[in-house]
Amino acid sequence: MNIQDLQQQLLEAFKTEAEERIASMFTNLTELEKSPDAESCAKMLEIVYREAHSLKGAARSVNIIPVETLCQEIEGLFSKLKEKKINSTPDLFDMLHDAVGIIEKYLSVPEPERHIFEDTIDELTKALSDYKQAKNEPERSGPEPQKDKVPAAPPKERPAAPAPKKQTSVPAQPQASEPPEIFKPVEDVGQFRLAPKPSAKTWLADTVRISTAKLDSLLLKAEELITLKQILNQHLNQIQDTGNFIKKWKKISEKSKKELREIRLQLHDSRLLDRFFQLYDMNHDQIEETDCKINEVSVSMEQSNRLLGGMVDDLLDEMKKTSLLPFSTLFSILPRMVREISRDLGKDVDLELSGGDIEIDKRILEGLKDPLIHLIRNAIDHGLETPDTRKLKQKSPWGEIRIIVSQPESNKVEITIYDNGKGIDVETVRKKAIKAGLLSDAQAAELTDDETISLIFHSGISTSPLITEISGRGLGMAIVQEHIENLSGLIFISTDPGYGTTFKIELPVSLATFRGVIVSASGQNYVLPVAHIEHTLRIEPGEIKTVENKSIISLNGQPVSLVTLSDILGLPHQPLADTKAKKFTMPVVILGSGEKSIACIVDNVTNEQDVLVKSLGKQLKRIPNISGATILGNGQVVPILNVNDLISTSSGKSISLTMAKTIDMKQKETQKSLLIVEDSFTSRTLLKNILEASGYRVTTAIDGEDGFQQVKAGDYDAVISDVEMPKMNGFELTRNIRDTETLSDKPVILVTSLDSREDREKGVDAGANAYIVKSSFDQSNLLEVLERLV
Amino acid sequence: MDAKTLHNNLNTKEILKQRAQKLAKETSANKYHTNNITIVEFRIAHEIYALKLNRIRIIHPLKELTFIPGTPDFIRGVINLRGEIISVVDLKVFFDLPDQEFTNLSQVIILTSDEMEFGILADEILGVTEISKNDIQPSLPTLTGIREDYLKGITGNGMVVLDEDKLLTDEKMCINL
Repeated sequence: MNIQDLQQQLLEAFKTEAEERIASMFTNLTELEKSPDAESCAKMLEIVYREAHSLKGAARSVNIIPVETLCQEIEGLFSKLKEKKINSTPDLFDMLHDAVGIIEKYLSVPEPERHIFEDTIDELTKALSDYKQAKNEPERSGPEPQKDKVPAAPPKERPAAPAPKKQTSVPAQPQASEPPEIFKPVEDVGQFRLAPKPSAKTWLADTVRISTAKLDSLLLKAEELITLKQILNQHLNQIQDTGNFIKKWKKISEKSKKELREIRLQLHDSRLLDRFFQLYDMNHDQIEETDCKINEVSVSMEQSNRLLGGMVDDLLDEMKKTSLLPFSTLFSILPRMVREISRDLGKDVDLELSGGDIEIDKRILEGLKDPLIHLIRNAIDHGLETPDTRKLKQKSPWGEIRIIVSQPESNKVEITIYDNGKGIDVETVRKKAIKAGLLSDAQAAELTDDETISLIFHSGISTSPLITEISGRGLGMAIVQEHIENLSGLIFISTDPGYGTTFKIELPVSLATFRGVIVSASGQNYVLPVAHIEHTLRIEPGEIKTVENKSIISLNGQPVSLVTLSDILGLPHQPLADTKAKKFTMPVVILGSGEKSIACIVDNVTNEQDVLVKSLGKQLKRIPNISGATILGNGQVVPILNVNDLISTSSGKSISLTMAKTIDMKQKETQKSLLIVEDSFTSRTLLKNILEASGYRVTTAIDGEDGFQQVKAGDYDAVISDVEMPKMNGFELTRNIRDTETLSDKPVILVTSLDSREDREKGVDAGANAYIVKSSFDQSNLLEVLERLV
Repeated sequence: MDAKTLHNNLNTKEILKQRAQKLAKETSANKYHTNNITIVEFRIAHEIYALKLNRIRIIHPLKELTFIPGTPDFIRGVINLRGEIISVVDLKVFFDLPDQEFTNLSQVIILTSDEMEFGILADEILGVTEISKNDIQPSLPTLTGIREDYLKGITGNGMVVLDEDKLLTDEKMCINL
């Protein structure tokens, strides 16, 4: 590695380190400013001091002098603060915030542009240095800080009252709570780097820094194992199928053994037959052995599959955990942000954060950042009142914002954002909504207060009369809701006019998988998220009604518009699956999003399974109706459908004409027509009923001759005939049909009570396709035969 | 092993190392001096195309293609590349060439950059070769049409050298509907 590379690497490392130290300084500075408790105050002071010191050292090692000098001053001030040589004042804190802020800005721009900040840094360095000098000399050193501190540097905006409570400096205490040697190296700062950082030591011991890119690729690989697991399960199924096949074979072979024995009895004394038996036995043994072996393989494969499955699931679980981050990483930016906004707006805000240790998927945390910032801005801008107004209302002049993260279920996280400001005025929202044309006066009157408040999630409604840089455009809440819903979350709002507003956000802990149903349309599979499927059902063409040129079906008495998935996706229709089902029905999925729902005809509904969402790649940024794709066990890529899109695309679309025609044709086509030839009235009626119930169109004839006339005249898919009939019996009828050129391949089924081999042979000789004996006659037997033949 | 052989060994090692370094240096120096570029040659229908190697992530046989409804015609579908989903482009359609029916597109050349990634369908991969930049001539007047915008030029033997950066950064390639 050459020197340049090394330098580059050092700079990268410095940047990461600086970011962390700056964030920690901001957090602790803000805390320090607020904290009423001397002990924790001293602790935080210690942390900031060390951070400033370490940053100074790091800046020196990569030769960034402005940062080094500024840090030196910051460090010096903290050191004085620690020794109680000076007192903390809001002015001082503003200056310190500015100083840390400028370091961050300075480091965030590329090197050539940094010089623009250098003047500011110099000024700040000087200001800090002056402050240190000024406070150094005339300041008293007595231990009565509560009274003294405030006049020493009158706060700018803040009312005097809470200040002493927030900042304390009792000189004896920190010394008591911290081992005295920690303070020793203060004069000799260069040595201080070696001093162990009590909290950092444990942190370092069990933590390793890994780039998120590496983790993401690991997670991707772990997720791929799911596919492998599914493939292996398929292999197992194949082996089990083969095993079953061999078992069947074995049974057949055993059965034939009996038959062979009977043959032997009849043809005793044949040597050739003995040889034949030898061969047969050998063969049978082989089958048995194969059966045994396949069984073994299948059992051991099942075991290893189960083992592997468990391991893959565990691994993926653990991998998912590595992409979980605690909320504190998001919290760390908030105190500073709240401080800046509240200072700009002249409001006093107390920010309380809790639940920072709860962990959630990194991607969710990233996605949550913008909506959360937006909600907090809104709370400060619209919610909290100015200190004066608050006093008038007899509230504490300090507004309160509380963000509470909790985990009510293992896979669910709840975030509550509460402010004790003026709340949202329901009437204002109602009026705005009517003005924006979202609803009519009458509709508005019907809404409950909670429902009305929820209207603020519509774009175009802002309760703030003022459009400010921060908020008031009315777009914000709509975007917040969209962001949260994109993370599969929900957001609720409640307000107590005059006393505050609460937002509640519910989020899943992890994003990766959801339940999906696999359907097919135009010959390809698609995944529909189970969350958006209300029902799946089969409908008959007769259930489809047309209203104003639109197809609808009735679902629990409610009309639902009916479309086909192929039409929505703009795919050509495939000929409908050629099922031999007697009743032609179509699978329909009822999709719902919000209040809207549609009925969607698909070719097939296969199964429900866990679906791992993947993006469609860099090229396909957004495709209407499709939100991503998943990979099935066999490696097949299946697009995941976006139900929201489907519903909006479907509006105005109806079943296309071609589809309507196909359905119509299919209806006629699938109704097979049969001719029953039977002289007994009872048998005739019975057969007719059975077959009609199964969806066939049935015509009857009273004897063979009548039957033969009808077969010639009409177009039947099959003839079912009795054998013993007057005029022309079943065999004759069959022979006549076979002898007629146009009818020669018409399926004929003989149904009879004659159960002798000769009769059976007669039937076959006559050319019947099947011969069903009435004694064994039951519905399923005949239907099965029919299904095979027609 | 006595001290002498050890010493000799060390010496040999040192010499070998120096030689290796020298060799390594020479090639890297060569790169800057020569006018050659390494290209992948491939065939689509009856024409031979070439792409510079440096934007090619991998060449993969085409197994299964999943059609994505709602995409432009030149997107033939998506493939599963080791658990990653990548869209594939049929250049014949993209260039609006007359002969558009599916030929024996059996290979996918994956082009990649930080912002973009897609596969290009090819009938056959002919190999990797080096050609001189001087061999690439501006396209012939006969090669007009959309395709001309995406060409670096044409070699003497009629091979069409595509501009990989132009393809990767082209707005038409990015589908955001």
